[in-house]
Amino acid sequence: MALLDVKELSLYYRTSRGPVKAVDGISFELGEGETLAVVGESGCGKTSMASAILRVLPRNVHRYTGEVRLGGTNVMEYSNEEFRTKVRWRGISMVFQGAMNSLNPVMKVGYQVGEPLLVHLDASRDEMDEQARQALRSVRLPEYIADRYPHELSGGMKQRVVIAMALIMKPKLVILDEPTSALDVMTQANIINVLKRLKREARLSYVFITHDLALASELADRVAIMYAGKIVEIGTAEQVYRDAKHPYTRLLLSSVPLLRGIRTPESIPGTPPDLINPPKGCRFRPRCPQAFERCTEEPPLAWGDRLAACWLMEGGAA
Amino acid sequence: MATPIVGTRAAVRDALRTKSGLFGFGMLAFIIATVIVIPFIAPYDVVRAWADVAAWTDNPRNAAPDWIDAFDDRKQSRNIILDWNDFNKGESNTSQNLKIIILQGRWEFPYHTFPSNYRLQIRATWASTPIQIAVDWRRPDDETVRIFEGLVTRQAPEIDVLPLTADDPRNDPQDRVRDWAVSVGADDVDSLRDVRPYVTLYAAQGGQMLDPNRASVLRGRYSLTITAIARNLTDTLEARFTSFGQVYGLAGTDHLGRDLFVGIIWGAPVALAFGTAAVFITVLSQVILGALGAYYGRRFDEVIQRATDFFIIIPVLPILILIGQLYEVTIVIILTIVILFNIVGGTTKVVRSITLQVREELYVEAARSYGASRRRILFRYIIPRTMPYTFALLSLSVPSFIFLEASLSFLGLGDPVLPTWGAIMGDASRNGALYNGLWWWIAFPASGIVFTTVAFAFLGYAFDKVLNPRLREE
Repeated sequence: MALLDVKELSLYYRTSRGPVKAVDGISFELGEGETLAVVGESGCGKTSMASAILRVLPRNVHRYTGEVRLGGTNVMEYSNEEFRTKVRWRGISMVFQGAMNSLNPVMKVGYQVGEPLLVHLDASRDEMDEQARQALRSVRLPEYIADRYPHELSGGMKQRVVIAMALIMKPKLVILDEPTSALDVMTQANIINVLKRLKREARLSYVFITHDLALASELADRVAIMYAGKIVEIGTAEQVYRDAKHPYTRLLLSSVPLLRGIRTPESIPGTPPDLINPPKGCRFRPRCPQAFERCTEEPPLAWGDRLAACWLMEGGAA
Repeated sequence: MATPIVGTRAAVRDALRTKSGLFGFGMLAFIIATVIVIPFIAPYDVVRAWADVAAWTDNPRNAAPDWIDAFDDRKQSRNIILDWNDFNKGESNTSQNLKIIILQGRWEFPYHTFPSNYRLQIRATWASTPIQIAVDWRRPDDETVRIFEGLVTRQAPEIDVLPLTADDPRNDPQDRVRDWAVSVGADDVDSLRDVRPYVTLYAAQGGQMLDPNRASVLRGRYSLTITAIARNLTDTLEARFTSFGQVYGLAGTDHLGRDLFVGIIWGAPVALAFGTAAVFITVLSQVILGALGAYYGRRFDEVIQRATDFFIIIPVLPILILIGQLYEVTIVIILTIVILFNIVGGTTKVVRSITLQVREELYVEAARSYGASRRRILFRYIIPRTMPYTFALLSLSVPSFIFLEASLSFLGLGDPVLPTWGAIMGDASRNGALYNGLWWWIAFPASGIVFTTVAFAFLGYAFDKVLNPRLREE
């Protein structure tokens, strides 16, 4: 049985122009100890999907439906209070995009890392302090960091503090929302190594949200490609990187720059579609070099063992 | 953005580094030191008697501070009191039912100005017939003037104040003193009412003895002899003499002879307590309500914001004046009303806007995602962010509450018992202090108010500089 099973998850935002379909009927499964990389352009709904799973919603929610099964239980049926006490940090924790800003500037780091313990387990201050220091050690940070304030730390340190905070309750699943996007390459590598080790040691499952395909390949067992609020292709890392089926995936792969490579990175013409009025049928159709008549109909995702929402799969042409 | 200032201790330390912070803390420390030593200088009993006219009759009225003669080579006359047991007593029984009591008191008068008044109090008991007394004033030039002759009219414990300055059925001191003065060579005056016995009796012999403006002081040793004839051997007689000074104490006196120094130093704790209590409670409630409203939003926010609009518009002072007219108020009641009318106010609006901003910050969302309760987010994440603003506001608002209390007291609607700076200035204004040149009566309480408010203003600016990143001098 999968650890996380998401079915037809939708999250629409209310705006003055109409609902924005940020997440539109997403389904995927994630096993224990497995890492799913969710890759897509900015604004394709990756972060909204994470918010939808952890139910950290803004005020202007228009529609919030679907199923999120965690260890077999549909947590979407929980009340807010149940969700707060049973799911948040106990079941799923999250590392937010932009660690720089996800720490309270007026709290000492140690206190903040341990705070979930205080909230959920009513831990004593000593216990909390001890565990916070341990968590900081586990992300390779010196213990004295616990007595510092966030503004005294570097970006990479803050990122690791945020990861330590996500691990403090020993959850099974961690959602990593662009955990390294504001950091330099060395620090990125450092953090990816920390994440890999934690995954190995604690059999953690990750949902790793990124726009960086290269980085995703470091960590991912499976890869989901998102476009305009939908998953357009999902498969093992091998399948997606070696033998991408969806034209969008292929274009995305060819846009990755190579170190001293002979190929110049390509860009995809056009802009991502308006999520208030997305194109009919396949949402990539207006930008797709291989689009044909059939593409005005919504393509199914599953084609035998491969999952790619494209009509090209029908004739095996892809 | 500059790094945020974290923690109160750091804020205070940084505030102390600025000039205005240093001044502000220094001035505040001085006020607090005053408050601490007050019980030793003027115990609470003294101030409790502030409104009691009888408690202050030993002091001269409208007297200037006594240090003014440091600027003048003439030494201003001070208070001289010969107390009940300062009089020498002699008794002799002439017969079975007649006793003569003689009381004699002496004092040195070394000053260059005349006293502002004098008074002789008699405390007597008699069995059947009132005691008959005669009072002789003996001067350094060996002249003796009989200033009183007659009966004592009140029995102890009541005190009989002899009529020695103005006309009375029992005695006519002006007439007596004039007759004597003319007999030693003074120019006579047209109007008896202008004669001031306490001037003429202390005046050097000469034509101007009866003219208070031109007479000169005869310095030296004076004495009073009270000769009494008692009809009963058990009768007793005691006397107490006061020569009122022209100057008194460090801050002078008011129209009732109250020592203004006492009133002014007691004004400090009253103003400080009123200002800080009002500010702490109102700022706290305004911050919490503003943050609560913005955080929970919707209807609750709407209610708080409309209430705020309402309370900002309604004028508190006229309402307080109305209440002061209708009811007898104490300072605690005034404080309560002031607080009630400031439960919401300008700060509510500002904190609301700060909260709306902070609420959307990522770390608040992070806290929400790890399951922090709303109350926890409000008190540990949002309200601490409003502290820099609140801190500066705290000290900047104290003066406005001190002014409010002073205004009410000035209008005579404050606490009728406690001396406050505003009340003292109100008394001064109603009694024409400035018109009569009684500058100390206005100047000292006014400087008390100014000193305190400036101290808090300095502090406020210092905190503002430290805590407002845009004003920080990097």
